[in-house]
Amino acid sequence: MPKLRLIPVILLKNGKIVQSKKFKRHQILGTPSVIVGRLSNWFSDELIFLDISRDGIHCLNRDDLNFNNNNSIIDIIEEVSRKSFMPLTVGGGIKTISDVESRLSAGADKVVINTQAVYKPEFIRECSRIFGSQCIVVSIDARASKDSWGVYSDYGKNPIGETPSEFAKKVQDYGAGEILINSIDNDGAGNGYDIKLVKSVVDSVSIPVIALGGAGVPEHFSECIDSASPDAIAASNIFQYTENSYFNINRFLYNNSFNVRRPELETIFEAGDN
Amino acid sequence: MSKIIGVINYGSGNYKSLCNALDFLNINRIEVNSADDLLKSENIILPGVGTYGNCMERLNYIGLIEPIKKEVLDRKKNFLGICVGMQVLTDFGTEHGNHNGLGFVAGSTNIMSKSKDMSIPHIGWSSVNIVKNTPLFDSIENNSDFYFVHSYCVNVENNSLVSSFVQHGNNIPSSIGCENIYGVQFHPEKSQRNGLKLLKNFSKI
Repeated sequence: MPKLRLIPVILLKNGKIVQSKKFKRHQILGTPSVIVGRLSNWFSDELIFLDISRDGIHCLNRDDLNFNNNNSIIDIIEEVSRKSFMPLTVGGGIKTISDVESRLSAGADKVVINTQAVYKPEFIRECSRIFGSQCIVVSIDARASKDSWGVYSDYGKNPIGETPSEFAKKVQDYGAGEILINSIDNDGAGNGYDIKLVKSVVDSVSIPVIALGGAGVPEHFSECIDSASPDAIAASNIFQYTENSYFNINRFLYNNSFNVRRPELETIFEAGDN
Repeated sequence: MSKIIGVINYGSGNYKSLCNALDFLNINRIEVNSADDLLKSENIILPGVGTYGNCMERLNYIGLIEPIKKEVLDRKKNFLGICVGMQVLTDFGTEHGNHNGLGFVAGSTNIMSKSKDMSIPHIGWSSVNIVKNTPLFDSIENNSDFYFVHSYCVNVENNSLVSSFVQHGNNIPSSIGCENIYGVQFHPEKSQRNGLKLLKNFSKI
């Protein structure tokens, strides 16, 4: 039984790290190069980078780079993977096999596919055949309707007319290896996960499910794990604000007997270590 | 100076991550994509992400299958296969059709048996139960966590070649070893401190 994964999600928009609220408001938090140093000191189980830029151009604003300041997500992955030896999952704007290939060869271990899974589910099959289903994560953005939820594509804009559990089952059949379920309503609200939504997806598929959207305090993580049993639990904003937040939430879960890795503050491994 | 490790680059996704980890550890490495490169390598690592068939096809395409056999079986160079790189050590694999492997370890690679409450693929951090002393695990605590991503696993005929197991539904071999040949199902290049330690250990064998 693998440990329950606790995953920080880093949202990138035009090369900056941002905070998101209900998929609409994006507040800039900093540049990746600043935060990378911090990330590599986290004993985090995994990192998910979601590029929500609309034009694919990134500016790292680094003075020490005296060449082209427009960096792609590829440069960002390369920089992160040189410093942190943990699983990296990357999503945003992935539409072709070569998009997947370029991200994996830059150091990503898994890719997140969202809109293309809606328009061209056959793409999921193709990706899983070429790269293996274990590195294909399909993210589902869901919004609550009267008595259920609806899946939205294109950064939460267009309803596709399917429920998250139906859609999750479908992409599982097409070869998805994991599902990332995100609540548009709870995004950035800090009031807790949409536990019923997460559970509806967990109950409908046999592949691992990652819950995202709404964590504001450590108790939100434990409530969601207790009631919906996802394989992994992710959050964005909560990890950006307070010092050692990853360690603290990890420790909270560990001390409450959840099946998570033992919390550690130091991950620096000296090259000369024996 | 540590020995020169040849890292086989056949287009596998984790080639770069592995190189990053070796560079961080100041381990000498060269890129291997020809028989000549293999000759220059003192130890060899075969990284792997993707399918069994794809890995063998690409190794065949760059003409490395026979040279690998020669360097490993005849010249006894130390060899570490990671993930699919470990799986292809077996005779054959059944992922998307039947494919021949390198055949260094008698056995095959098959889909993990499905069981209730056990997701496949097996993705995440799992504790590794070390059952046999091997230099790879030097100064690594038993039941340490390593990062796994796989749907297939090896079934080896000689169980005494298994140096550690991971529990995922069943007991699954997480590392194997046979003289100068080693394989790990998990990703040391993604397993933070424990993984780096294991790579360092391999470089010292």
